[in-house]
Amino acid sequence: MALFKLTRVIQTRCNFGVRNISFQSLDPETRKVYSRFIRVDHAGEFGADRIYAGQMAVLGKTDVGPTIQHMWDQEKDHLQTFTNMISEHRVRPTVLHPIWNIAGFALGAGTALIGKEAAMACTVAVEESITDHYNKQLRYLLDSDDKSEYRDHLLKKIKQFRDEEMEHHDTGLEHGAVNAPAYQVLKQTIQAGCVAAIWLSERI
Amino acid sequence: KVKILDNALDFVVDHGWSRKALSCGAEQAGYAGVAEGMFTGGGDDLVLYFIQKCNFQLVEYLKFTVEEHESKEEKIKVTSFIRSAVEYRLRMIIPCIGAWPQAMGILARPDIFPKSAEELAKMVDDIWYYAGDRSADINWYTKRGILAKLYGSTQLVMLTDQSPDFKDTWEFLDRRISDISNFAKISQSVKDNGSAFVETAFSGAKVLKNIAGFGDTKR
Repeated sequence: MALFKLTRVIQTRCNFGVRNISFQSLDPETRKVYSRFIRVDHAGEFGADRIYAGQMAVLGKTDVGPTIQHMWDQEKDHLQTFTNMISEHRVRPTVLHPIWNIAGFALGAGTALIGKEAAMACTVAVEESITDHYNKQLRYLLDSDDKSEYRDHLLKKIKQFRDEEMEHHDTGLEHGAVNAPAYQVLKQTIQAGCVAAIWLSERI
Repeated sequence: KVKILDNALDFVVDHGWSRKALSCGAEQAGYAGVAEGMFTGGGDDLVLYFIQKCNFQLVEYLKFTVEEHESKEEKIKVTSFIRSAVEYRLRMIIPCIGAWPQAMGILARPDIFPKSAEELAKMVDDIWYYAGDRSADINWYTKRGILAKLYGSTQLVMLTDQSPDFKDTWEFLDRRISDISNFAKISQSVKDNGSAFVETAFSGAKVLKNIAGFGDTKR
């Protein structure tokens, strides 16, 4: 501490993530929007990871197990991407993280206990909500004036994830989601929950 | 503006965090005393400027410390990093410690509180980030909450500390930090032992179930 002189002019670049413009020096409005995106997407992918974990806990040994495992692996990859963005850009994660942990697992396991079709219906509902959400974000990013590498990176990743979520949605339909008991009611309820979860995690 | 604020800091011990300090600072900087009218918040602006300036210097210090460790290829020890960061930041108050209770009162006022809370949040986030924290779950909040509380309590101790070079305050800081790391170790070992305990409990239940003959399908 005695070595440190206040008069020293520091032109250091912090070694955690080398970028041309640092994320912190983006204009505040843009940074706030990108932080919100990263926070809610991280929360969403974490929720999806827990939902698939719940489904695997019940249906892992059935014939639909490998399909769910494949979708789960892709969600894990999405989650890792957003976790890295949170760490690198110093984004505050959602404070509801432990709640999504429990709620996601309960939703996945709960629908799986009703039956294989109900689990698929849950997948269809959630993936549809997530696809809509990603589409909104993509529209915003495409319209945005910002030309930074952060926008390009977000655009690229969200597009890729949106496409994969759409695949999951279609897989769910292929495996008989519409045959689930009270399909419409189940789907609407889950989607209402997703909308609320997205709204909350964008802010807190 | 910054020149006036910097100069005004010399006068806070005598005149408090007030317009009088600002106008003395303005005169010392070579401007007319009435230049203090530029600052709509008066003494409040001076307090906020001071904490922002301290936090900025703290970040420079943190970056310097991180670089030093990297150039020596040492791993950063989190507890001692945080301890030295808190001590460094608290020492910045020493020159105006006589007027610091008034400053703390101003920062706690409802109209100023959002800004001072934001500065505190940013400061604890900076300290944890440079200490190497990359958590993306609820630990992000618990760590920063603990540090904010640690900083606040040490600051209070410092205000009533009469020992030479605030020795008692730094000892208090050491004790609090070792409490926190003990707590972390204990909760980790509870978690590790807890899962073993749960498994033992379940195997006990399974033995009882077999004895009682529940769920026995081979008749």
